[in-house]
This record gives sequence, structure tokens and C-alpha cells, in this order.
Amino acid sequence: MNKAEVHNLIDKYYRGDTTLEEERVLLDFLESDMNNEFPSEKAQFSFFKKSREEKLTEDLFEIPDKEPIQIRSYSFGFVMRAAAALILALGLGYLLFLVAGSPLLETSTEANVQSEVLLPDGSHVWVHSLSHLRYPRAFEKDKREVFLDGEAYFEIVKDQAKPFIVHTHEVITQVVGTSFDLRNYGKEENVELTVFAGKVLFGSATKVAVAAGDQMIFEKKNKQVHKNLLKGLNALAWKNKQLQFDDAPLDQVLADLSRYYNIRITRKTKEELNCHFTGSFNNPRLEDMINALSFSMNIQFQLDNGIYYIDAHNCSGAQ
Amino acid sequence: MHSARFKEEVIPLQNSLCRFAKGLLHDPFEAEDVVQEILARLWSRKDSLESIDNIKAFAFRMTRNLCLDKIKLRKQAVSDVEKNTLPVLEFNPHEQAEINDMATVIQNIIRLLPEQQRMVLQLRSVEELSFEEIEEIMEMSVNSIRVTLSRARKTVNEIYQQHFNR
Repeated sequence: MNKAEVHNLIDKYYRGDTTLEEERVLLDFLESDMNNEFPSEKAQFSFFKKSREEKLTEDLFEIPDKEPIQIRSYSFGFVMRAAAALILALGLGYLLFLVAGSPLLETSTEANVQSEVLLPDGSHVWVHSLSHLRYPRAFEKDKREVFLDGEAYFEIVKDQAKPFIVHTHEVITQVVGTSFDLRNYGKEENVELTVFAGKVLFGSATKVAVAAGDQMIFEKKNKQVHKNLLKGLNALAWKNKQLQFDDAPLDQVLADLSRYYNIRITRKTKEELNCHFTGSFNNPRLEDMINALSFSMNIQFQLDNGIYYIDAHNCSGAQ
Repeated sequence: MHSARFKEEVIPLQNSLCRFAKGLLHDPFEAEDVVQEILARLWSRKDSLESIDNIKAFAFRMTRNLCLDKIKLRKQAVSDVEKNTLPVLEFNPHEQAEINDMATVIQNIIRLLPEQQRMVLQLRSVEELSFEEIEEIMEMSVNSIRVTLSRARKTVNEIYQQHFNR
């Protein structure tokens, strides 16, 4: 091939007009061109060639075998050799994992900041403030594992073959595809799980199945799981910026406020009260909540040294 | 389709499909997952595959769509190339060491192309498919495939020249 012909072919290549045959001719020429007169084209063609030679190391799909499984007897030697091969393979695999093990990505949030995370499988996580979520760049073949400190709301894409597992220290929350809120701040005594859809397995040594609508509490001290019968409506208040009370006892209202605004609230006297509150608030300011509660329940708030003290002995409420 | 034919016509596509998915996703593990899923889907509907003219093109198109879905999920930013400005190719020290390997340089440049161009370039130059097959996979006319291919090749060359002739 003379120079003019080469230039002609290269022009044709850039116009997108070369045939595959012509490109093969060009490749042969470039590979044998010791002067390296066309470095860009040579680089391009050598990349294409190299890519073509790339092969998978194993099959990605095995045709399901409909034949009945044959039970064969193996000689001892065979079993030993197979076992040795297996151990070697496992060892190599582990070594590879150590060397190339994909590092975890981490999303950390500061106070008053929330973050939305899209996991590699398309699942969605909303991470509450002061929380850390760690997850791999790509999930493993047979499971999807993430690690949580703090609180997050999960909307998990369904994948029967790959259970989704959240690790929170000793507690494991396992799902197939569902939505739930999980709360585990280090300083708190409990791990809390609220399930909104689907079914969730929850616990450490023994796990319980939790159905949609239920809230479970894991007590870190004695490692017991039990259902929270006073769960209220505000498990997702942090995310939705909404406080809702439906005939909620005062103590629960105060607990929800304390959590939502991250403030300390305590009652001046600890007598049993029978006051309930109903109401719904969109992105309420704390002052508005205090006004609404003071007025409708006839209670007084008093801020002293960063703590809200509640005088509720005259409380009244829809009951 | 009998499993023997599946084994003969579909299974051998996995290398090509996987390379194609990797070129789009830049993630070998995710690419393998995608191809695994495509093969499983094809297997589950193997009885209706008989009616499909070109199974190869069909499998490529499925792969393309699934990869694009994944990319959409990732909310990957639109490549700058589409805005008609050439992105600057930068190498970290580790990559600098490999720079003699020109194939790697080209790979990095191709990553900067818009998805459409990347797909067409790969289907033609790596997988060596006919324009008719690419037409079916990309759902584009032969004419716009040529234009896209031309644009991709020119851009790769331009970035290459810019980088090495400074």
C-alpha cells in the first residue's frame, strides 16, 4: 500500500465509511509501520484489537440441567483432590479479595443535614443527620450489604436472588425489597425499625419477621426484640418534615418533639396523665408547636438552661 | 429454542455483550451482572426466540437498554463532549506510568465520549458488527450511524492530538 492509499483509507475511516475489510487492511498496515507515522490511528486500532481479545474468565450463565442428578461414588483420592482444589480456590479468592476487595463508599451527614443516596442496585436511601452509611461500589453476586450508624430510610429495589442486608453493629436487618426506617444512634439505648412496606427480618442472634406497619425495638442492653405498641406516626417526620398526632398521649408528643427538634424536654412532675393530642403540621417551627400545644392542651413550656420543662398538671386534651 | 441451540447461538455472545456493557458502565462487575441478567431473561423466553430474526442484535439491544437504565439511575452527568467543548484528558501518576500503553490512552479518551458515540464506536470497531446490525441495536438509520461513528472517531483523534502534541 502506498502512502496516498493509506491517507485515503484513514480519511475514509474518519468519515465513518470504511468497510470492516478495509479496517483490517489498515490495522495490518499500522501494526507493521515501524516509523509510527500515524500514532493516533495506531493507538486507536491497537485498543480495538486488544478489546476484541478480552475474554471472560468464566461463563456468566449455565443452562439449567433438567437431567436428574446422578449420584456417583467417588474414590477417596478424588475427594481429597477436589477438597484440596476447593481450599486452594477459596484461599486464592480470599487473597484476591484482600488485594482487590472493593473499598466501601461512605456517606456521612453533619448536624441538620440530610443526604439522599442511590445505591448501585437502584435502591434509594435517605440518610438522616449525624449518620454514616457505607456501601460497596458494586454489590456482590448473592447479597447486597450496607452498614449504618445513625438513622436512614430505605426504599429497596426488589431482588429475590440478592437479599438486602443492613448491618447496624450487632443488629441485622434483612429484606428482599421493601421500604423501612432504621434508627441506631450510638448514644441511644435502642435500635428502632419501622416497616412501611413488605416484610423485614430483624434481630441479632435470633431474628423476627416484621410486617408492614409495625415498629420493632431492639434493646442493646439485653439484646431483646419487641414490638413498639406506642409507635405513633412520626417515624419518618425527619424526612418528610411533617409531624402528625392522632390522639397521641402527651408523653409521646413530647418524645416526638424532642427527637424532631433534637431538644431535651422533661416534665416537671411525673404523674400519670390522661391528655391526648391530635393535629398535623407541615414543616413546623418549634415556636409554633409550643404555641399550639400550650393553647390546646393547657400546658406550659419553660426553657431553662437548654432544657424545656413542661408543666402539665392542668392539662386537657381531646379525650 | 432448544437448549442446544441456545448454547450454540446465545451463550457465545456473552463475551461481546460483556465488553459492550463494560464500555458503557465502566464497571466490570456491574457489566457482568447486566449480561447475566440478559442471558437469564433470554433463557426464560427461549421458546419465543425462534421468531426473532437476528438474536445477536436482539441481545445487544437488550444489553444497551439495560445499561442505559442503569446509567440513568446513576444520574451520570452528561459528558462535556456533547456541549462541543473538548474535555481535558488528565492522568494521575499511576496512569502516567502506563502511558506507553497507547491502548489505555484510547480507552480513557473513549470514556469521555457521549454514550451514543461510545456505543456505535464499540459496536463497529470492537465487535465488528454490520451497519444493518447496529441499525437494529441502536434504532438509528444507517446514515446517522455513519455520522455518529465519524464524529466519535474524529473526537478521539482530536483529543489524542491535543494531548500529545502540546
